[in-house]
Amino acid sequence: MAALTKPREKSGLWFIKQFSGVLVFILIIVHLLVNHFVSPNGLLTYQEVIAYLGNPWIAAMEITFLIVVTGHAILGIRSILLDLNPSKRVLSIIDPILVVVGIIAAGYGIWLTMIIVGRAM
Amino acid sequence: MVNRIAGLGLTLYLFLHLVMLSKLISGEAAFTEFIELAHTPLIVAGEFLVVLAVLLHGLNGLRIAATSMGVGSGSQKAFLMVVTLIGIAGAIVFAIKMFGGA
Repeated sequence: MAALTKPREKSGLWFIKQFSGVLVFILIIVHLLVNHFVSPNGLLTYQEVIAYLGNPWIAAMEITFLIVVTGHAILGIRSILLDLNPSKRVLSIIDPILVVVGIIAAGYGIWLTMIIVGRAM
Repeated sequence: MVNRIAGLGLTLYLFLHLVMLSKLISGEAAFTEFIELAHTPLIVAGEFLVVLAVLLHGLNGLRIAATSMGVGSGSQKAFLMVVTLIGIAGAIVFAIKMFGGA
């Protein structure tokens, strides 16, 4: 496993990226099936989205998906940036930016989801 | 390289998707207008590209994760073939659903 790890990507982060990727793939297939196969019109209507997210297990699954997919995307971008061999100084700037972008994206998505969940009640 | 381009495309789509879903909090009329736009051929074609990117990046990622853990590393060509066939089958199923109006 160590041979596959890039110079500055710690093995822990590499493992999280791989594990989150597997989880994302499972959850995204569920997400795509619901959005393209369950609704008779092809995409969920407003009322169908409200009813869908009104189920607390579904809401929890979608929030988990959002957190995991954002984390995986941020780690993936970092991995690509590492291939450009940035200096430690540049990396010390990139890392917090990626963390902030990830937190904002996931936080915004969770906030949206919670508003919709609130409308279902 | 293709795997990385697909990953970058999906990341861009993730952020766009979150922005577009803000239509949900604007109410039913705004979301319905957005869904009508999403049914136009150009957007459906774009959505299908997203599905292809998910299948390509996801299945290839699963293959890489499995082989790096030693699973199927002795028969990588056969593994690649199986993953490719699953991807093609998935793409056909989604294409029929998304473009066939079924």
